[in-house]
Amino acid sequence: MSLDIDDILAELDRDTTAVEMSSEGPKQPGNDSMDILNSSLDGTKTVANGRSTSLKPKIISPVEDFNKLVTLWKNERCSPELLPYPHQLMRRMLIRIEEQMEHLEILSMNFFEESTNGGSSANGKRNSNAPANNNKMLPLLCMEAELERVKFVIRSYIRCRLSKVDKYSIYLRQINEQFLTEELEEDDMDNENRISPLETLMSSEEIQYHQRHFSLLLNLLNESVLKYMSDDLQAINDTEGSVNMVDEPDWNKFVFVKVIGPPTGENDFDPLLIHKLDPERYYYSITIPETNEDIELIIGSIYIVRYNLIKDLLKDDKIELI
Amino acid sequence: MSLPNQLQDTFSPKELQFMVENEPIKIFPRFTTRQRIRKQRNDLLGTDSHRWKMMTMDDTSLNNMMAMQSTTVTLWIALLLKQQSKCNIIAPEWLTSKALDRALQFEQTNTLRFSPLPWDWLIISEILFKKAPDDFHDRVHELRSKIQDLREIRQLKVAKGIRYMNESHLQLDNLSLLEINELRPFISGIMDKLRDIHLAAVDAGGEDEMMGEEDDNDEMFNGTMRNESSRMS
Amino acid sequence: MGYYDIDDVLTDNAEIPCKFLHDIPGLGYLENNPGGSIHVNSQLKLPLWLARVLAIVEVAPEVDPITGIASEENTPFITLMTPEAFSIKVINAIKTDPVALDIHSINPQFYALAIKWIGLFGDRDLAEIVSELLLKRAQVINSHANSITISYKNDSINHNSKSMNNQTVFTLTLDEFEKKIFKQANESYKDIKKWMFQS
Repeated sequence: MSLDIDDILAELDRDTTAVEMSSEGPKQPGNDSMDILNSSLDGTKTVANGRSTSLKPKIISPVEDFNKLVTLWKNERCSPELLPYPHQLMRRMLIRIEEQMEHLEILSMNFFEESTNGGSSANGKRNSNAPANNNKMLPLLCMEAELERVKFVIRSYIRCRLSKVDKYSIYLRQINEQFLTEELEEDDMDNENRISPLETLMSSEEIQYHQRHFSLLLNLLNESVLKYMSDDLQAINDTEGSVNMVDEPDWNKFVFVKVIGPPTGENDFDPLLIHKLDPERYYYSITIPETNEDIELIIGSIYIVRYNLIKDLLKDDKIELI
Repeated sequence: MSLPNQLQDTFSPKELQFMVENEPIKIFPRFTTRQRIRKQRNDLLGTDSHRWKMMTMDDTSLNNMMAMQSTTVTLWIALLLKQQSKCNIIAPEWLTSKALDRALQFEQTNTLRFSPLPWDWLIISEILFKKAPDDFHDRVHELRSKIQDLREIRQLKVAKGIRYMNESHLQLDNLSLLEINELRPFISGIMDKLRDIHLAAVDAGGEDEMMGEEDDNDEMFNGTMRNESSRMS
Repeated sequence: MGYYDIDDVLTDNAEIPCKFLHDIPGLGYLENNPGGSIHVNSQLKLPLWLARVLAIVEVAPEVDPITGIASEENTPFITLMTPEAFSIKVINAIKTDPVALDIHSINPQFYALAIKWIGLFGDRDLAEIVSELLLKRAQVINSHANSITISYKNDSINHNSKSMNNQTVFTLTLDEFEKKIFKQANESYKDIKKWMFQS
């Protein structure tokens, strides 16, 4: 019966909600990444300990987490650039999946025992009473289906991210190099607290993947072409020429957006949000740089606009890509 | 490739269906899950096989179902129960003959706007027609043909609206999930190109503006040219 | 767009008529005069990637060997002349019937070339004309992309083969970008139809 403890923990974890900083990812990259480094898998619930004094801790339910994950998945698929990795959210999701799998295993073991017991005791009740048995199986069936659905979203999300890591391999590498040179120049001011942009952008597994992919790519290019050329023709990251060699995301790509508003729902507390009457509307104002044309992004409406103009709103969860 | 080409920057119809399956819908369950006295201990151990322990949705309604009393569950659960003949799905209010007629009328009278159908109307109706045809009060083939009429009239509007594409932005209110996804590669592709053409002209022109005064003079010059020619004619 | 974009490379290969502004010794072979020099005002077609550079890089002021007076201003090697793709003839054809135009035969990378050309001179008029052209043709591309799959109502086999034929004729007149959009849009419409009609 050593399993009981695990089960109780699983049950508790499912119902008690994880506590975390009110903002995740882009705004607090430092905290987020530090937590990854400092805490092992059991650290979810104590994440904000000791640091939550200045920030209001926010209660996040498993359902919210899942909905957020689906939104992130959709955003990732529609955005030209690689979006920041949700370290905390992903860790919570993975823990829940693991626990749910254990839970299901126990459930199905019980079913197996029950059905064999039922058969051997010659009772015959369960066997003859198929629908009742079926009713009992239903939750298990649904929970298994649910697990598959969660796994699907995570897989699809990660695959999408990896395809971008492939596509922008050199570009991502360049971001990191820029950061490293800046760091050297700035001496040791706050040096220890600085988190590399890649660590905010990617999970540690993704970073590893990126490094490996990059060295494979470099090796391939070197072995097949570059080593036969003179030194000055060997660059793969020349950005000075007439055409930039490094593929960057198309920042101005047209994307479909739905305007959500502040995640808290408190329209009047969002300094960026403009309130106008007749007709009454709350909107964000964005400006097309070359024409100075202002566009009203009204809450609840759908637009097709250039990615660059909305990417800050996207990272603040005020709009979603669709 | 980690992500197939056809899934980049867009979604497959099945993925759209997946998204919509996470939406709530009303059902009449044909069985009861509510228990008067919960076996607390069993519950806590998680060995109670009757208990629904879900991680992506609030499972209260699932654990309190009463036979033939309507309740709201997630669509994919409803479909799974339906498949097992464990529930009837209640068609949403907009998916009735009357409501669809009203929507059709709106589409016909408003040539420039789309009727405010739900975000997932095309997908929900397709799913329900296929998986729960016996749960409708109206005749399914009638509903289906009305949905098809709506779809066609809206597609015509889209076809006409395409000429409003530009290099700046578009507002697309009431266009639904499936309609947006279907148009995505076309609209974003053309608008990206319009933007490139526009920016090519503006960026090159921008350098002129950097020269400031000269540019102003040029404009004055152009102005006088125009005046002269108009005087001449 | 990008360094490895094959369409971009092909666009840069488009031949642009150029006029030489200087005598260039030794280049005579370009106009069937090997060993000789190329003369001022000679006209030659050069690929865009080369022509662009020669039209920007300036030659040091020439000093007249007899008078010793330097010419007044620096001039580049060549001046670019309007390529066939944007000639008055083509522009007029665009204005008359943008939809019927066989753009592919004018230039398979018509829009890409137009964007480069517009960028060189900040030619807003041309930008306007090309945008209008794309917009008009986009409407036809969209309806063609949707038409194969919309045929489920009629006798689908017959209708399909017929529209397939029209389709191939139509796609032959599209430039490479238009073709790509047509394919993507068509795939998108087809996927949805397939999903809707599967049992």
